[in-house]
Amino acid sequence: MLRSTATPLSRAFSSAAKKNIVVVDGIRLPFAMQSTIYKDLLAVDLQRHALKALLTKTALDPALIDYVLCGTVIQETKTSNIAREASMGAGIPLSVPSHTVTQACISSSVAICTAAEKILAGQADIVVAGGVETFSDVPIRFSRKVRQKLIGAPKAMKKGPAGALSLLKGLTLKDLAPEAPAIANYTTGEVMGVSSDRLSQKFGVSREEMDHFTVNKLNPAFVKPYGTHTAANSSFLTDGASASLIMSEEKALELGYKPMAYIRDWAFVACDPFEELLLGPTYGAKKCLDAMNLDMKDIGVFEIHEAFAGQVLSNLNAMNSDKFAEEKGWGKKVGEVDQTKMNTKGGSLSLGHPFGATGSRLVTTASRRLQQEEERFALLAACADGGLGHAAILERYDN
Amino acid sequence: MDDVKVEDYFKPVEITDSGVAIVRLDGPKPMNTISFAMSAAAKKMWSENIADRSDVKAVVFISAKKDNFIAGADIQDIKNIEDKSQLIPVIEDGLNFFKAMKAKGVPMVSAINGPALGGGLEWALWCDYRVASDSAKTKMGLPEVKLGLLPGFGGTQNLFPLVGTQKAMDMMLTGKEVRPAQAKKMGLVDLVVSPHGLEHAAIKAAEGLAAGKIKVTVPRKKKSWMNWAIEDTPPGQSKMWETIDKMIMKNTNGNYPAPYAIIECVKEGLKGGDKDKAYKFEREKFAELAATSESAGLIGIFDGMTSLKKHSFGEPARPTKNIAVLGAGLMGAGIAQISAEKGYRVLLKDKTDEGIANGEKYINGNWDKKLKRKRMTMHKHNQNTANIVPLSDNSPSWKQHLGQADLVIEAVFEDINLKHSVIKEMEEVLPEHCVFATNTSAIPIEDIAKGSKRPDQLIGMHYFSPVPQMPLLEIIPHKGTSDQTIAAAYNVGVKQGKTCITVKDVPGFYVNRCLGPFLVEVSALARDGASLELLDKSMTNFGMPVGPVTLADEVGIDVSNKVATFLSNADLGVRMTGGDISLMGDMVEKGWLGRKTNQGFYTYDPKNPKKKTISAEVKEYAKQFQTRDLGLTESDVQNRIVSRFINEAVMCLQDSIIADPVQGDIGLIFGTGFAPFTGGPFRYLDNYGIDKYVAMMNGLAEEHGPQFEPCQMLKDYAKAGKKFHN
Repeated sequence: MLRSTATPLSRAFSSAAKKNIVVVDGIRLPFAMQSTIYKDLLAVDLQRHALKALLTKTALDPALIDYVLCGTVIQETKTSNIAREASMGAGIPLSVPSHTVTQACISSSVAICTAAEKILAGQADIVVAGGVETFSDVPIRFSRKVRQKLIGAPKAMKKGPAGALSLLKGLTLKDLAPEAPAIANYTTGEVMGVSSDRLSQKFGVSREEMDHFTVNKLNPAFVKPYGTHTAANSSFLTDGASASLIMSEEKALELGYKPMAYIRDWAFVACDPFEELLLGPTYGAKKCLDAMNLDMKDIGVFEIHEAFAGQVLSNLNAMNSDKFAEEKGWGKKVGEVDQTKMNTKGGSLSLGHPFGATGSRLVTTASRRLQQEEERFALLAACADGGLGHAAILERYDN
Repeated sequence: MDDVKVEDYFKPVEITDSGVAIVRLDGPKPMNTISFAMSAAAKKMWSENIADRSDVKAVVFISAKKDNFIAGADIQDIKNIEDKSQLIPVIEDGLNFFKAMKAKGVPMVSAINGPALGGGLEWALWCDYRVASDSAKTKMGLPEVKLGLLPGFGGTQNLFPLVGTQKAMDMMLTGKEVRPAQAKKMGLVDLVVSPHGLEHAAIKAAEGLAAGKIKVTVPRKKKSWMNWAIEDTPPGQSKMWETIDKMIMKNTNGNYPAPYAIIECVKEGLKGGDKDKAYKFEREKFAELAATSESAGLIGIFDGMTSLKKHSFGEPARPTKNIAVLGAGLMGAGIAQISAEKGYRVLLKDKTDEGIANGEKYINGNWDKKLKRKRMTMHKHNQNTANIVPLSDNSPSWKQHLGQADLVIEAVFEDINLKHSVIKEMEEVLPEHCVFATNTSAIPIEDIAKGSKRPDQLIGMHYFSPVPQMPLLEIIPHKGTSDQTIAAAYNVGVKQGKTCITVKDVPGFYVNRCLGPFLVEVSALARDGASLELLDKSMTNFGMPVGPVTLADEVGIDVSNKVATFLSNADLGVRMTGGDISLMGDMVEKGWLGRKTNQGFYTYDPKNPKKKTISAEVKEYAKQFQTRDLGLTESDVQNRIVSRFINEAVMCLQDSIIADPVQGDIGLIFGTGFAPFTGGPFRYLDNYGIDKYVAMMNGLAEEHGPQFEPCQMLKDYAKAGKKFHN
């Protein structure tokens, strides 16, 4: 069994030529509550600053970059490919291609893993992967009815004043009210806090446990009056951006870098959004640990995204539940997470959770902790809207 | 001019099947200009190819050059004519050519890509239709006023009917350049297309005009009610001229004749009636202006600037791409700003994070203002920001970054030990080829070079504050500086948009050295009873942008005091005597540092930067230094200050601190704002008469002391009847 060794571990790819993927460095802008310090900036500006800061910190010649990938959730229509606009704005040469990915709260995890896959596929050696979110500026739109009228307007106007008047027909005052982006899931129609509350009931997480996880005496925010989720044990709406520098190991060494960690394995999973919207981390963690043939005890660094205290604790309970493992036919439970090794530098509940930027933060923090705490393996896990989930395993790079 | 060859200035005229004659301008130099020879060739081209051909239904004028239409008239031609009244028939000849083309009665279209300036735009204005490319290089303007002249090929008459009097006056009085989109908006051009589609669009427009399918009106845009009231009613007009007069007075203090001549020409045209009379009036005014010393002075500056874009130090060892700026104070940040704007990657390094943050704040503030005023696009703003790499001692990678620098500009505090330690620290990480420039205003470059492992790569680059606004850069090699190093510094300075002069390594270099005696004399005048107001007023009336008292406040009393004290202890001897500079020293003690502390000689209102007053306390303070009252007049003040200033400039030429009078003129105009219409101190002396000036100075020396004694070179020139500029 390959366990706790310093030699590169190989997974399903049997080819001996498989490249190792390394995390060279990572940065983030300070995360801030919505409509505070970043209130005058667009998301593209936040991402631009983050990319630029990564270049400054690493002294990487921007012309060497092969690809830029950014994750984001709520899109500003003017910058729908925000990776491209931010990349050009950050002084990365116009000849470097870029695209934007979105997968709810694990969008920049996708960016980083896509970077890794590009490197493995031989398409790139140096990829900048970032993520961004702002809640200080969201696209607030006209109602569907008004939009339909406006799109038809140029045609109607050709008929003169009568045509212009016909535009107003059938519109009520209510239709003129603007629409903010919904926070409920499109398919289930449920707000995430409610889903997490349900999950907590299922896995027996009490209000006391959640409040212990945070520091909390507030009233329920989602399921009133007896719900468990409050403003304090739920992650707050945050503005922020992050960026990671991902390379093939040989390229990093050729350029004289001292990488922080290998990205050894990753998984994206999906589960039933009606029942287990936020249980993805459990499924993802199992998949990665199995693939690497590792045990929970081998993990020295845990970075688990905290959407809600209830959601994290539910996942920990699920991972540690024989009953759940039996239900799933897994043979044995995923394992017990040592909470003293989890999110020791702060998690999404305390630092904030700019949807698109959190994935990159998890990778940077885990990589840095591996170095500082001299641990061998880190497990990353995060849930995402739509019943999606992600997990990854990093290994310390010995310089 | 009969021997002039058409093919030297034009490609063979091509006539399309639809009867459009395509005239491609292609002068002998990279830039098309209108010269006497070009004019003659044009006449020949027209009569041989187009004038008598009935199958020509329309004409398109387009440049065969890649990036310019016509950059203007050839200044050399004007300079070469001794008797400027001889210009009148020459201009008439040119005008008759335009009129002859017009008389053929077929539509004419100009297709403009790149600059169409001065005579170039006037050519286009004789046409019926103008198509411009949307290239970043395309710009249109009538900049003659900047040379003390006016648009003489009908420009003052043909522009205002098209775009309205207010817009026309704005263009002609400021000489500003108009970009394609804006030109379209104001009716100056009729169509804006991509450079690739320019010729096609112009031909199509010519065909359309010839067939009567395209109709144009003059003015192009229907005037708003408001503009009609201002431009076309007598009370509106009189108010408009009053406003314009005020504006000119405010900007030029009435020292320049050209704006007034332009106004006269337009007023002549507005009378209506015979256009030929107005054209005649225009060219007579042009000849009058061309004969003024103001125009000669401004053309001298223009020529000087052009010649100083080049240097004779050869090529640098390798091209400069990355510039490191050490110190993110006002100076360093300013240098970083102008470098980043021109596409250099700037490694801006300060000791502390706070220092860097302040520097970035200053730079971004300046760019944000430009963005807001639409002087900069968002993309350019982002590119500029991206070009600045902010580094402090806390940045983990600062050494890796500095390892990529091609040229360093050090702008740390003025302390020789600090500078030496910075050089030592940096040379450990800088690449071998890196040029090290020091931005000092006081320490000899040779002394600074003693701290370097590679003294041949060390040089002085003395910028003026505020860097983004001040156009001058003094480049100071010390004895051991290599030519390659000078070339690298010079190239960077020119690319940063500065006019560079090379100056010998002496205390104060050139500009500050001249300011030393100037400052001493200001204190002497205060002692002799000149009020602060009189000092300022006298010098602004002489033509300085600001008076000496305001200047000291703007530069900072501490800085001015430092310069004066430093030079008092340097090698200027008697020339730094005659006054008491402790006038400023005591102010530094009091914390009256000028505008930056809202209290210098003037008291400033922080809420309203334009408001300044002299407080009773300062008046009382200045009184303490007054020992007598000589009842000084404005001209006394001017003579005493200016002669000290100018004498020092000539001393610098005498001692080879500056290479020639051109650099001497440019240096004081761009470094201190020395009355630009005089053409600089040397041209001023030429015009004044050197012998007369020497006599005046001798008089002052007799009355006030040897600090006024004219230098040997002045005496020699006076005696020999020589001039600095020939």
